[in-house]
Amino acid sequence: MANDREVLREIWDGKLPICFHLAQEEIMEIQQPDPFYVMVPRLSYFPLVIDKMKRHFLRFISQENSDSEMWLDFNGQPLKWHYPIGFLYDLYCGNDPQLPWTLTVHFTKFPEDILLHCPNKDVVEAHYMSTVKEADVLKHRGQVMSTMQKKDHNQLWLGLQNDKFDQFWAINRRLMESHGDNDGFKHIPLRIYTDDGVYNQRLVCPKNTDNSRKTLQQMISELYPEKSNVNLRTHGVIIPPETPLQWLSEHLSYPDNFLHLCLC
Amino acid sequence: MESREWRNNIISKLQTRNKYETAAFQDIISFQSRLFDNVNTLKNENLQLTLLNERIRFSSTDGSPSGASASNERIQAMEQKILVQQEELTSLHRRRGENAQQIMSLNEKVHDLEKQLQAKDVIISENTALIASLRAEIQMYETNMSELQGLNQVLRDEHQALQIAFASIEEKLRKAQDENRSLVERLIKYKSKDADKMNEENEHYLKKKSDKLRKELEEAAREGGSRSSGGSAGSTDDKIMDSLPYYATALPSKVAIRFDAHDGEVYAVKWSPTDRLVATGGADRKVKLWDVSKSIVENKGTLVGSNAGVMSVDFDSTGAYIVGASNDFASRVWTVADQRLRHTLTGHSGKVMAAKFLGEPTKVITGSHDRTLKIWDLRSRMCTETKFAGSSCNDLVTSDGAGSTIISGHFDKRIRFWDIRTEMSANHIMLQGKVTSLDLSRDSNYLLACVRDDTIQLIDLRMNTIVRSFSNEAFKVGCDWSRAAFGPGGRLLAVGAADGVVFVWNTYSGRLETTLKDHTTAVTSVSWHPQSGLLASVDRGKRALIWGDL
Repeated sequence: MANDREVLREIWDGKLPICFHLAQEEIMEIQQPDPFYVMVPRLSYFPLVIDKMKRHFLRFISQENSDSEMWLDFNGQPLKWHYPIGFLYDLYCGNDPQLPWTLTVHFTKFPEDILLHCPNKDVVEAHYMSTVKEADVLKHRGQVMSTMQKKDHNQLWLGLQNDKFDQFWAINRRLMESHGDNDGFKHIPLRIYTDDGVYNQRLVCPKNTDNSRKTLQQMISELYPEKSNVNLRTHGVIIPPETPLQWLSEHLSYPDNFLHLCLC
Repeated sequence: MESREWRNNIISKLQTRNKYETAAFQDIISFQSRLFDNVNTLKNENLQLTLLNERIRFSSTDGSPSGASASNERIQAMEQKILVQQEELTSLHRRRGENAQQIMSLNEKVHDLEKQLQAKDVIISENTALIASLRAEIQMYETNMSELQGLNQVLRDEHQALQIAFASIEEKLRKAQDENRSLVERLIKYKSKDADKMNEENEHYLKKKSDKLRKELEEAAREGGSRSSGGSAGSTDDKIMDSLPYYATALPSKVAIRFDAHDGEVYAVKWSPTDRLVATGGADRKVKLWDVSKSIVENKGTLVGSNAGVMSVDFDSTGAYIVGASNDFASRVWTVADQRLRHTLTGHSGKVMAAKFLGEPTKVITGSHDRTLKIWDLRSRMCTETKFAGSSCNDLVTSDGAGSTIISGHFDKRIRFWDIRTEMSANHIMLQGKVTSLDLSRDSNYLLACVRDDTIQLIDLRMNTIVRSFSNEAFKVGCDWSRAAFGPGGRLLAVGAADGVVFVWNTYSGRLETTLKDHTTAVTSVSWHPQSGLLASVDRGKRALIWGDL
């Protein structure tokens, strides 16, 4: 039960200003292209928001590259498109915020070993749905997603794609229900990322052994017993350690129902 | 739920974040995007206007005096030209497409033709192989043929040689046959000479004997002349008898018995060779047997079975069987003793005119109006042979005891001689009229034929010529089957005439010896008794007469 609408709304409305530059070596025109500024939702994915920008830069590259796949990089680091945009920003610029976020657009030399290919939006949808199902398995043993119809899944995806809060949360609410008789999920779907992008996914129960709600602090001490003063950031904010995990998962999950936490 | 510090904390943090990240830049970026869009649209418009400008400038440099309207027209003309060019272009593209299509189809055709060619090549190779094999066969056949020709030549040479040999042998055969024939002729000549000599000798001997007898008789007569007083009545007879002393066939002069034989015309009469039995056959379909051993005639029996008139009867040599030829196309054989019908010989398709036993009593020969003679075997009761005579047979006789020669008299004035073994008549003699009857003399040398031209012909069989012919003005042949008969010695012959008179001739002298008148109707048949001089005659008026001394 994600009842805290205020929080949900604040999370949903998060937007980032991004400035796209075309890579210097790919400019074929004499005229320099203007950088392209756009406000993108934090919760969305890159392949969904780059259409206009691609059209803008298409004029300035050589004809033969116009069909090849476009990829983005920040400071030489290719950006994985299957992570939410907000999370990528937190990962790379969390400690050192630069606004607007300047990214470079490339059309050639696709880094095969780092990035996956994303030929169209359906691939993004497929990835998103699989992540949702994975989370559901962790939370409810997969029962909620399996009882939902195809049109509900479609509604979920369309709500996210078109930035429709009510449409999205009408379905997502069901995924935030408690599992059976328990007061909360079976396990918390979360991933903890380090600076180099590697993540840690563990089975985490929202309840302690004494059946009280587990807080973030307790989880950190469980997972990283030797580290002290560990802070986790998500959605651009550092989470107070006494926040219960259950509440955290219900309200601060990304649209794919996972908690993506950056270690800082 | 207790302390919501962390919640408030989070909320405030999020709000600051938003203020910092979103709000600050929102307006700017939206502004910027709007500017971008405007710039883009303006750029497009600019592009369009420059194009237009170019066009207008282009047109205006070409036709300055005409001004805007001319330039408009030019523009239109240009546009039209462009349209036309575009149309041409499209049509050329289309044609190119069609050509490409054609090329494809032609390629296909070429492909097919190549395949056909390959197939034809295969066929050609097969055919050449076939030709080679056929040539080999031809070669073989040619060698065969040359071999065969060689063989043929060899065979022909052999054949020729054989032909030559055959011709020479034929020559030899012919020569041998000629020699044979000439030798046979000579033999016959010698034999006839011998026979003549024998005849002469016999005559001489007889003459001598008769002279001797005459002398003795004269002596006796001289001696006993007184005793011969009562012989005056028989003197003429004696004289006649003297002239033929040993031929004790006393000339019959008077009727011994007269009787009614049948209920209709009597066609045939025959003496039995053994005892004094006479058989008569008539139109009443019966054959009747009469015994004249005593001085009166006794009806011994009646043989029935015929379905039509009996034309001729004949006894076999033993007198046990009697064969009757009938008008119902069949002849029948009865046993005399019990008068039972033994055989019926059917097969002729015409009236059977004559039936005679052929030597032994198991063979019968019949002559019929259907122009055939048939030989029957009584053991198998079948016709063993049929001879086609060509003309209706009226009478037939068999020569010698074995019956190897048959003589038949026919409607076509011919007498035909048959050998039992041949199909065709060996010989024939033409006469002047239909032959009504034949009779053979005891010694089988003379044949008498009664002919419808009212003559009797006497034929010598050895020489196949007519020796003598007997006729008389009063003598007319009564019917087509009127029978004549030799006397037992062969010296006399008797025949019945149409007016009922029986004429008796001397065969040797040709003199009419006597005429016997007693019948009222035409005499159909006569028969001499083989031993005594009795003569039986039958007529059309149911009468049968026996002449002579009983």
